[in-house]
Amino acid sequence: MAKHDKPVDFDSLRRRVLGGLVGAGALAAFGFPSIGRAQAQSVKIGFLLPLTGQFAESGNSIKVAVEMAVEEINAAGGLSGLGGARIVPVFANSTNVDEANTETNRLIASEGVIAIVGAYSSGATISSTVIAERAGVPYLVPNALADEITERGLTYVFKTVPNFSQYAVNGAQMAKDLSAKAGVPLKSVALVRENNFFGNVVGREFAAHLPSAGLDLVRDNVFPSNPTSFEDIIVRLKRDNPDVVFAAGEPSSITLLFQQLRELRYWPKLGWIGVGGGYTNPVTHDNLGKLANGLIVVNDWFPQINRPGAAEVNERYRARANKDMLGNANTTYAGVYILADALNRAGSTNGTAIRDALRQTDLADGMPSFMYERVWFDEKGMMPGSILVGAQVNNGRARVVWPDNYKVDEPVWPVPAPR
Amino acid sequence: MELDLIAQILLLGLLQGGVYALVACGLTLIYGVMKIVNFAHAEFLTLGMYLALVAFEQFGLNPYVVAPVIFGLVCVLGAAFQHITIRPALKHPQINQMLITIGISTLLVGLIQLVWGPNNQVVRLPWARNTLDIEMFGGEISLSYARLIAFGVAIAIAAVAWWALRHTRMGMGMRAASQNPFAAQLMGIDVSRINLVTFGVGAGLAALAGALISPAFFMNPTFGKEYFLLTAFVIVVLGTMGNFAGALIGGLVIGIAEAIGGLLLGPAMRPMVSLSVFVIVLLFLPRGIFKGRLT
Repeated sequence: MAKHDKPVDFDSLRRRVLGGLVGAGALAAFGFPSIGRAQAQSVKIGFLLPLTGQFAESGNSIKVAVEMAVEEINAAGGLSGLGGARIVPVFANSTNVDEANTETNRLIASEGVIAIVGAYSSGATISSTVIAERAGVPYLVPNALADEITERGLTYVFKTVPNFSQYAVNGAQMAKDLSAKAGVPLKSVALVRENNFFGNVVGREFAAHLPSAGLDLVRDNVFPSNPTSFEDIIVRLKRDNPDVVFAAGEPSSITLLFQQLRELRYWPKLGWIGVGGGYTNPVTHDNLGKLANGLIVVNDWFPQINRPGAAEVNERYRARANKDMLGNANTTYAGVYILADALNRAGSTNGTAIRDALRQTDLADGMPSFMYERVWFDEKGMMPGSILVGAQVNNGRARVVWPDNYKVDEPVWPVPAPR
Repeated sequence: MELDLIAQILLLGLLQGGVYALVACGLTLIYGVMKIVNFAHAEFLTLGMYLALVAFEQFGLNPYVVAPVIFGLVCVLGAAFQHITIRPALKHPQINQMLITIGISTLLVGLIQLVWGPNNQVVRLPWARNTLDIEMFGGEISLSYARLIAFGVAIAIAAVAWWALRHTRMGMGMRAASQNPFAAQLMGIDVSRINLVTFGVGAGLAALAGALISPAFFMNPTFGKEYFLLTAFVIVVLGTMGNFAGALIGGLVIGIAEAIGGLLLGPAMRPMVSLSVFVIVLLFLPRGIFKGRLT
């Protein structure tokens, strides 16, 4: 009885009718004409980036690189394997894990993207890759570092950036290579790192990997975020007198740290090696001026590197962003080209076909060679060729000095104290 | 552990405490007299640093020389802010005035970022990095000039303020207004003028501190807030709100507590040790070291 008393829900009715109209319209606009015409007009690729919040600066730098790559590919005739389809980038925010998950669902369900690239932070990437895997949408990770991204048996996930552990492995290898070349003994290492996510991962990985490289970790110095002084750490470094210091931190803390290194006149016996974004940031080098002369920084790439096209790519990027192509702008730019190559070979927008094409990737030339000698993926979806390089800072410029095949300058080692 | 290491750490902690005390001076004045927490304190400090940067980069002026000028300029600016934004709210609950200072803080951070940009910048005063070296306990102890100066000025400000609050008309008026603004008004004290001067001088002292520490640090628009605001609040409460000697002692206590904490438990534990000292002191002296007295 009550059922019949219920008034007609006009609101819901209106919504259903409107929804039906919009749906029909969408089918008419996108669905039917593609049957009639031979070539596809465009394909959507989702880009999950932190466009607001704490990492907004990096997210927006990467966005510029993505736009640059997409414009270049579209201007050169689009995706040849898909009948010259243009790439349409769909940017979505990945400020935190929840947002990345929601946006991944939206990209797949509402936007209909054929692949996803992202998501900058490891946490957001770890969770959103699972969603894409479930939906069978290929996911390229050119900017999140956590080892476990490709360690969970996901088959649609491909990662082109080094693992966290490589900072320790390659960093130790670089210090050993430089010391062997200079004929100086290297044994003891100290860490100076911030008590934040990246700092703690660096601490964990160096503690795990230094012994296998035959190096002793004499002390792991941890400082709080926003420190007002580094004096106690420096006094301890003076006591411990390590051969090399490995360090990670944010630009602000690095600036204060190097000022106080100068005040207390401390410099390690062989050199100071910084890893991660804070040490790579050109603004940090600029602020430190002479205080950073000789500092060695470790990153996946630098504009001053011995790779074909590196300088040109960086110049094109500088023209748009007015800064060097660092902070994963470079890796994501290369990532768009790697994905485009797979799409061309797949010849289809089917997720499995794209996944299989990505797996068979083997690129030794083309645009990504501004960074990589060879692009290919192992069975886990990790790119074995994603290495880290070391660059020495001089008067605000970081120039690659290790490994030998990428270097543009001879390293100065042991590094004299900057004055 | 070697004696010279302990001596070095303690002396550096003492100097750091001087920097903290210097930063807390302006805050304690406003807190003590007007009974409002000035959340914009950190931004006046940051503004002082940027003004020192401009003086150094554009005009080649030494930050220590222009510090009094910066103090004067920001005094006027602070008084203007008080007159325009806080004074109309004086008759309303104090929480309103505090919220206004949060507004001033947001405004200043935005303006600083608009004018000077978001990146870190530094004042490259060549000799600020130089150190005074002392032979002690068989080791060499280095103390940087930049911090020695901050320490000295903190002591000087505490001494001058202590004297001024006791012996000048304005100082006595401030104490009266702090105890009971209504009674002070009845006694013929111009409380509204006292508030104007208090806020102006408080903001000016923050900027003075900023100018004086600029060669020893770096700056960005949120520097004051992120690096010094919490510590300054702790020091002001610890040393009794409004008491300059208390701010000095509070600053030194926190500086040394951090140094000892860093030495014994590692630098990451520094804030925990200093905040534990804060909690313990307040357990026994809930109104701070000077038990609520301004002088």
